[in-house]
Amino acid sequence: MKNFRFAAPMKLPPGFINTRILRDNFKRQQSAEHEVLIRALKYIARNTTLPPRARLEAQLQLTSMPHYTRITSCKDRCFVSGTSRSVLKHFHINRIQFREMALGGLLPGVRKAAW
Amino acid sequence: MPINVVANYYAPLRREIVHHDLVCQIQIRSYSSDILEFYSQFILRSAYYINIPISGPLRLPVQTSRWTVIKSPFAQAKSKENFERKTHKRVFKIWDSDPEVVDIWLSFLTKHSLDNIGLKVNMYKREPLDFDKEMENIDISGFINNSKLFNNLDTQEDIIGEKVHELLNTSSFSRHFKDNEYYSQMLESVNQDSDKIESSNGNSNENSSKQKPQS
Amino acid sequence: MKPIVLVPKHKLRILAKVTAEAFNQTYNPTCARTGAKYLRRNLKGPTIASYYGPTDFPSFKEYKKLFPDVTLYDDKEDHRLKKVAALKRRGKGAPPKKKAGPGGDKKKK
Repeated sequence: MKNFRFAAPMKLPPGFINTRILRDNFKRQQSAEHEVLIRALKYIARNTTLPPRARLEAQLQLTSMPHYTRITSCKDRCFVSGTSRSVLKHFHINRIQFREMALGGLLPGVRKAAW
Repeated sequence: MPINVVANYYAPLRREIVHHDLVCQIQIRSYSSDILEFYSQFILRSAYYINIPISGPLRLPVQTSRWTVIKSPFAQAKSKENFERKTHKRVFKIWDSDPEVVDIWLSFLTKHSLDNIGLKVNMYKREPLDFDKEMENIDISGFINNSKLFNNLDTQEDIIGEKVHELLNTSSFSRHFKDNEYYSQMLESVNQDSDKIESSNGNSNENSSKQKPQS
Repeated sequence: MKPIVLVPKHKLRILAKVTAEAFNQTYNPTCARTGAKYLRRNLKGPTIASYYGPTDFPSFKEYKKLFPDVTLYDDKEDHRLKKVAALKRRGKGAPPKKKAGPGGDKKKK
């Protein structure tokens, strides 16, 4: 799917769609695509046995890459409501959604704890 | 009543373990223990009728994961709610059986598997001492290229290593190697190594450019 | 008791070098930074890209195309259609389309 809003064509995620989710999804796909290149450049830049000029060249290429190719630019978002706050890593959902779904019995095995 | 139906009212019968040769280890896990008890009975009884000596069920410690969330959707952060999930696990060991029989039995188990139960199987195989000679004759190049497992584990370094080769051979990087004699030799040795690697069906380890020659 | 024998350091260094050659390991006595960790670390890309689920997951429309014999009920679509019908009954539907004839002629001129 071609999307003029983003720098490269992007595939849509299957679940809830939101502007912020679309933006994050774009970053995720781009960072996954460029990961090998970034690793190779980092290897050259951090390798002290290589010529300093080549290392500098690699570092320059790294810094000139757009920010959306970085893994650190991705933020975990709730894939039911799209919020980025208080997202449980294990379930990929926000605390409010988690509580509702757990009480409704939609999350297998999860129940109210008392000890 | 037929005798095999009557047997269901008694504890499961077991075949005797003779050689203590471990063939396979099965782990089942679930969020509720009742369903696990039922399925482990099924495993034991079906193993008896197919003549497989089995030991178990061994109870592994229950894995409890807990989450605490704020009750209210907005503010009131002092009142919280706790949730938990308990994962129960049982382990079975299978002894002295033909791997083919075990395979058939496992396919029977998966065919009649219950919902909400995970089944994990480790198969063990013993080889003679001179297996290394046999191993040299096995052609695994196709397997390594096709298998997802190998793509993740062994050739991952190669994917990045190949990219490094590709980058170093571009003009923007290779010109920095040409000025200095020491570095130009290094690049040549790297390229020679990569040629060797290509001829040996991509079974390479790490990029050799990180091996510093002794001076 | 056995007497303690001190092995000279240069011999140990030679041993380390030989073992490294034998087992295809890197011999790095000066601990020079080689950036090997960037080769060794697992790639995160696949897990990061699949956070929101598989992108080729079929939608409801695609399911309908895949199984034409089965009658499937889409709650959301049904709600939308009912809403549109209700709006139309109240006279708040989509405006009627303009006829294509005269507009097309203007563009040609």
